[in-house]
Amino acid sequence: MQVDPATGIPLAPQWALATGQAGQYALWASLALFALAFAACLFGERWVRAGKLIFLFGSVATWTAIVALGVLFAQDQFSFRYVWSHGDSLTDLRYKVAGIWTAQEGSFLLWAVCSALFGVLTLRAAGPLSRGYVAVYALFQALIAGILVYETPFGLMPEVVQDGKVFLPPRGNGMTPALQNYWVAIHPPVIFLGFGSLTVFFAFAVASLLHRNATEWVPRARAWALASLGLLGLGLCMGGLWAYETQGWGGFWVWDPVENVSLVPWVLMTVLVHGFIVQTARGKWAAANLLIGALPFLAFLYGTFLTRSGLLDKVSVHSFAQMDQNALQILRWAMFGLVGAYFALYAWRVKLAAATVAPIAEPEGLIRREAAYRGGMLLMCLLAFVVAVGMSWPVITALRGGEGARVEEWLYHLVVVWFFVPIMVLMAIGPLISWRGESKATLGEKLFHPIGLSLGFTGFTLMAVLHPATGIASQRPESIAGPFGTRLLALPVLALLLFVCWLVAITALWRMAQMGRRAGWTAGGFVAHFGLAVLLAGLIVSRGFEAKDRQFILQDSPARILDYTVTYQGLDTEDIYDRDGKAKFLLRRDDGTEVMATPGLYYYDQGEETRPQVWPFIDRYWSHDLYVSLYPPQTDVWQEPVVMKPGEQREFEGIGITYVKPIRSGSPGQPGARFGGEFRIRTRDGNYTVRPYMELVQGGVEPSFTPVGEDLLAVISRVDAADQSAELRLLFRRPLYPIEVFYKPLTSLVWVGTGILTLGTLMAAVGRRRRTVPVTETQPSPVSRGIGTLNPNATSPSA
Amino acid sequence: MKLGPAVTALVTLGAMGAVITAFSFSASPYVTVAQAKTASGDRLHLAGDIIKPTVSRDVRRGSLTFDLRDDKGDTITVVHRGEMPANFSEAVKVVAIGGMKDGQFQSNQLLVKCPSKYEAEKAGAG
Repeated sequence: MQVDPATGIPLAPQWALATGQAGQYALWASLALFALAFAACLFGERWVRAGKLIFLFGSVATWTAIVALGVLFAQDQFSFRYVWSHGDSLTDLRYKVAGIWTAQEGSFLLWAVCSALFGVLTLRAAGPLSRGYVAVYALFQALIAGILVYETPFGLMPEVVQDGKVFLPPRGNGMTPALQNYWVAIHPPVIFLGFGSLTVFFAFAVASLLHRNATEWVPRARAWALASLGLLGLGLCMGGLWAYETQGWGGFWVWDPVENVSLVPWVLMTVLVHGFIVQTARGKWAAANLLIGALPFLAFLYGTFLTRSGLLDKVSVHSFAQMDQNALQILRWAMFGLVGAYFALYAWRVKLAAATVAPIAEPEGLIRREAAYRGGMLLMCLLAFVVAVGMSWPVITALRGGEGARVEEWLYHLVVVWFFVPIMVLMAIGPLISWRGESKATLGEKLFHPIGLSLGFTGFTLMAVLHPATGIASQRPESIAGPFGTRLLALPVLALLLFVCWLVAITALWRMAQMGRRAGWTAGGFVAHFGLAVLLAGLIVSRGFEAKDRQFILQDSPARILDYTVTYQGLDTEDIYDRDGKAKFLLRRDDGTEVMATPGLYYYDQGEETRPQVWPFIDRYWSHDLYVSLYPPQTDVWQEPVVMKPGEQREFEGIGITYVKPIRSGSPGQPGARFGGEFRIRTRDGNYTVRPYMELVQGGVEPSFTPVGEDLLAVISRVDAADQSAELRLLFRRPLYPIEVFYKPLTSLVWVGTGILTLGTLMAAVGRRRRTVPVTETQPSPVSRGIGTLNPNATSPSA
Repeated sequence: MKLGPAVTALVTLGAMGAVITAFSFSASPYVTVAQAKTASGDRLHLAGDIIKPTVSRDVRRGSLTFDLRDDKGDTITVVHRGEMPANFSEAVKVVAIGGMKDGQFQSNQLLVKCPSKYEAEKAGAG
């Protein structure tokens, strides 16, 4: 390692500085290359091939930047501000690398990288739409590269550059301890792959409008839409599981704005995927699909703007640093520009584009599958509207003047349920109706068994959850918020929600059984429906029927929480800084069964303070989770020490203190000298006179821990020689452990459902790869007909 | 004859209107200290700075008491029932959710905003 000869402080190695430079140049290069690719496509149809090649180079430049950043993180190059802020030499490699995306700059880079990846993967798929497609895609990549050039992760810390030398700090600030969990290495890349893939559908929708062709993109984008939906869904679920395992809320989803920003694109992508089905099978919805294709991307862009611009600062548990003002300007103009330009283009071109599609005549007088899709997807759009408006509500209301207002969890639940139940019913009925239509009688026949089975299974589930032998009966929700300020009985509402989940699950299985082997990969859709029903049932039951209670646990004195007697059993390690440290609590049920709960607890230094980090403990069974959430142990009675002058008297809730007089002994400056004071302390247990002090010892001062009655200790932490004022702390003799115990039935369904949902969606994506389209279509493909009836101008460059 | 699209549009607009109405009536308002003192309701959101030296806990009653100063500089005593949020010690700003009772703000939920510590403590390196 290179060391500065003058000071002996390590210097940043040349290669690291070069890597940082390379990263920054790569960002500039990607900006230039994507702009060039955009320009090439504008220039003419002949230049599109060149444009694609330049697009590929631009993407390589973007990937180079993230690799450079990764190397700087992995090699602990703390001369760079971003690496210093979010990396630490002491953490595992996975956390070092995850440092890339723990803050704003890196997550924009991750977005750019993922979006470019899908751009490159779909370059060939764009086919005759290439000119518009590459132009739009490159334009967006150039915009985000422009943001990154300002919001760069490659800046050096100003403090390390002195006299032309760059010093290397030995350690970084480190990732926020609350983020250090294996999910931080998994969840962000997955969900950003989902977000990045949204650019594909935006670019396809715009290109289709530009080329006046509403059919060409459907078979080309269809498999990608399913893959994107799968990634978004998996990312969302992982986010929920992450929160559940680390936050100690005992839940998966709290309608935080950042969660909502990712939910809206998922809902809209679901609509697009079903829109593609209808357009392929019936030649309908062409105009609607062009709109829906662009919306997930635009919604995510809007959400990014909303959360990154500081507008929601008061609302979110996620905090974001202020963005660079130039970068924010680009983001703002990108958002307003792209949204405005898209809607203008749509209004102008949609009729021309949709005219290329020939719809199939619908059956008369029968219940149509298309109608079920239409109803369901309209409701899904409204659901996206609810979430988007809900997350924007603080901003909307603040614009009307005043402080603004926030939509809370209970209000989301109250509003969302009106859309949720009919959506689930349509999701159950839709697959049972054939495209050729169904009379009421035959549909009734088809529904008879699924409804009966669902009722039965719902009853069975409720019984299992509520019966003391299999569930927990000590606490049950009595009522939940209803409309117009009313309270509704919780049980019937939960039963209804559970019933619709069962209905969807059973019809999906029913259809899969009917299709049998013939279905192949395309059964993925029903697998996904089934998985979603399982997931939602898990969320509903584990939240709706949870039992929870909280208590302070004192050493040596057990407390009663739910059906358990909880005893504190000490820490499992001597070293309080051990990141795997656990506090041990024995939970004993009346029937004698015992669980040793070991929520994580360790301390870390932040500046001069030592702070606790806690993790919940989860005991998983197939039937329920026992979730034990530990809050930071309380050692101090007050959050801050009290500074008092002699003779002063103060009163804090329940405790009165009088600083009677200062006391000194020994000769000042010599070991053994004591500084302190006499205090009268009145607690609920009695009045005490105590004389805490600090003693001068070799190499520093040592405070006394002076008992105040049974429960407390008094500590002097500072004495001012000039005015004799003393800083006093009161400590609990035995730390208090605030813990909360949740009993959450059937949380296993959330895990299982997530897996099945993702598997099903990805299966469907495989089944809809482009070359398989003609094989799996049993009906005459309107796509091929659509291409046959193309507008002669369709593939020529737009005016 | 073409009644379908009209009905669809009507239902859609109706649903959107209903959602916005529900949010307008039931969203929980952010209030200043001055507004909190006169407002009714138990889901008021009161945002402000914690005045650190005033923080105290009452273990037996399981409550946390502190004074809060809003952006306008007004202060009020907040009594929070329940345990201290995990990152309360780092918090500068909080949002207390609750309502007024006996001249104090009774909170049953605290949302903690942590300072962007990386920005503030940059100078410590080197």
